Amino acid sequence: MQSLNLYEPMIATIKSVKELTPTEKMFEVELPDGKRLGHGPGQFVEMTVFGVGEAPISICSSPTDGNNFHLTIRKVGDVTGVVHTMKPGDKLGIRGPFGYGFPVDQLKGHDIIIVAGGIGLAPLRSVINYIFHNRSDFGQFTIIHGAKTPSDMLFKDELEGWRKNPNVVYLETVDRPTPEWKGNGGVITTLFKKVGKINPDNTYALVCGPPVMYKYVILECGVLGIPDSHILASLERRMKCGLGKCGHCQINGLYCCQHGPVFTYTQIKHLEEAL
Amino acid sequence: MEQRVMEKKDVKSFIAELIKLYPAVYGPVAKGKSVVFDRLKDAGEAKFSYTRSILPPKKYLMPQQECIMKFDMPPNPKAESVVEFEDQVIVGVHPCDIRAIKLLDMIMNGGNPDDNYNKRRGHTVIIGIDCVPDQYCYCSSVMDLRCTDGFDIFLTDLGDQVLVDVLTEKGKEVISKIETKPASSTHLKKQDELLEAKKKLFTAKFTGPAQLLPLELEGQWEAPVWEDMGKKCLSCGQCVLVCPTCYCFDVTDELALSMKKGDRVRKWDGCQLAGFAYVGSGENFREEPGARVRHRYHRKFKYHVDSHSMTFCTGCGRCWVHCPVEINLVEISNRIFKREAECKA
Repeated sequence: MQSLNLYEPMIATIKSVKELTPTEKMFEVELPDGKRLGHGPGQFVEMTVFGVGEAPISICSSPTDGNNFHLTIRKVGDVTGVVHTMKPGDKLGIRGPFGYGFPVDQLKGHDIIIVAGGIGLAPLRSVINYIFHNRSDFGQFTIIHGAKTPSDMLFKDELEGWRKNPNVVYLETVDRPTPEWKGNGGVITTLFKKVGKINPDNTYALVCGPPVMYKYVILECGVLGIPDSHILASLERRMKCGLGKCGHCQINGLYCCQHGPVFTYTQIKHLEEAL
Repeated sequence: MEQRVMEKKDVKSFIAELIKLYPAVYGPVAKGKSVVFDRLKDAGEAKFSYTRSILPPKKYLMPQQECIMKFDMPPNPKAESVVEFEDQVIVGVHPCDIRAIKLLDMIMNGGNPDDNYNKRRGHTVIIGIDCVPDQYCYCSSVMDLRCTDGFDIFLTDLGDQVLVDVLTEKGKEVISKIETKPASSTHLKKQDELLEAKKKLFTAKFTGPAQLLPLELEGQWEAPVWEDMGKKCLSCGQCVLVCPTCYCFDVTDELALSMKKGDRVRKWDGCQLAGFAYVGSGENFREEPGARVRHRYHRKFKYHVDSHSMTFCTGCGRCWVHCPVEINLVEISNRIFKREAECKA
C-alpha cells in the first residue's frame, strides 16, 4: 500500500535485466502483488537502491506493455552504478509515478513525429509503444532517431522491427558512422530533410535528447511549420523529491518534476534556463 | 483578535510556566556575542532584546537534518517513514521570522503536503515579540511592520507592561497560564506609536515597491548586476543556510555500521552551491555564480510572487550579515529598480 507519507517507497522486484549497451541496461520491475504502476507515457519514478540512495528515472515502457514496467538506466553515478550490478530477484524501492507526461489523449487523431537523441529514446519508447498498441488512434507516425555510434543505439532488436514496420516511418542516423554502418551519417537534424510533406497543424513533435540537441531540433520543427504548442520536449533535471519541494529541478519558476518533465515549447521558449 | 496586557515583571514567570507545561520550549539565548535559538531550561536564559538570531527558528519546523525514513537492507528490504515531533513552543520570534514561517506553511501545505513539516508545525505554539531594527534590517521594504497573523500570541513591550495580541485558540490556552487584563485604548495607541517610531529607524531601504519587482525584473535577465555579484560570490552558501524562507533540501541514505539497516536523511541544501543544478548527463544548468545569485534573487522576488503572490524575502538581513563578501538583496534590488541594463544600451 502506498503510504500517506510521500517519501516512503514501495518495495519492488527486478524481474529481468537486459544489457543494451556497455553503459545502459533495461530493468523490468514488478510491484508488490503484481500491482500496476498506473503511469502514463513520459512520466518518471524515484528509484531507491537501498543503502545508496534515490535517483529519478524515466519509465521506458508504455502502460499498454503489461503490469510490470521498464527502466532504462545509464551508469553515471552512485545509484545507477550499483543498480547495474543488480540481478533478477533483487529489490528496489519505487516512488511514483511523478510528473506530467505526454498527453496521449490530446495527441490522438494527430500525426506524430518522435525525435530521439541518444538515451532520449528511453522515455520516448513509452509513448512509441503506446502509439504502436493504439496505432489506429493516430495518423502518420514518424520516428527520427540519432545516436553517437551504431553500438550506442538502444533497443537494437526493436529498431530492427521498426525498420521493417510499414506502420511507421523510421529514420536513423549516427554522428560517427563505422565501416559496417550502412545508414545515414551526421547529426540528427540532417534527417529532417528526409521527412516528407507534413500537415503541420495536425502534427505533434515529441522531443527528447541531450541538452545541446533541443535548440537545433526545435528550429527544424519550426521549419516544418509545426506550431510551438505542438512541440513537446521532455527535459532532464535532477528531480530529488519528485514533489515540487526540494528545488533541484527548478527551471525559472517551474518545477520539472511537477510541471514537466514534458513541456510544450510555448511553455519554455521564454524561460532562460530551460534549453 | 483579542488584546490583553500583562505586567512586564510577569514575563519571566510566564516563560517558567511554559517550560513546566511543554515538552520543549525554545527561545533566543546569548551565544558569545551572538544570539541563537536554543532550548530554554530556565526562564532567565531567554534574551528578548536581540536583533537577529544566527539561524531562524525555522530549524524547529524543518531541522538542518532529519531522518524521514528507516530502512532494512536487502535481501528483505523494508521502508518505514519517520515523522518526529513533540509539542513545542517557540518564544521570542520576530515579525520577519513569523512571516517566513507563514510562507513555509504555504509551501509545505501546498501541492504535495509535507507530512514531516506539517505535523511538527501543528504541534508548535509561536509566541512573537516586537523588535528594534539595525542597519541590516529592511523588513519595512518587503512587508507590513504590523504583525497580524502567523503567530499564536504576539508580545509588544510597552515599558512596564507588555501588550499581548492573542490570535488563536492555542494562544488563548497559553496566555491563560498567566494573569492578564484586557488592553485599553491607551495600550493600543502606544503600540501604534511604537510602530510609527520603528518605521523611522530603518536605514536600509528599497528605492521602489517590492511588489513591483516581478515586473521590474522583466528584461533584466542580462543586467550587469548579476555578473558583478557573480564575480564577488564565493558560492559558500551561507546566505541560503541562514535564510528563513529557504527550504531546498537534499536526501541521502546513511547506512548503519551493521550494514543491515539505515536512515534516509533530509538535509538543508542550497541553490548557491555549485553542484545544485547538476544533472546526470553532466550538464550544470547554473554553472556560473552569477546565474546562481540571479536564481536566488528570482526565487525571492519573482518566481514565488508569480505563483503565490507573496514576496519570499522578509528583510531579516541575515544573508547580508553573514555574506563574507557583503552581497545583499537591498543593493541588488535598488540596481534592478534603476534598470541599469537599459541605461547602458
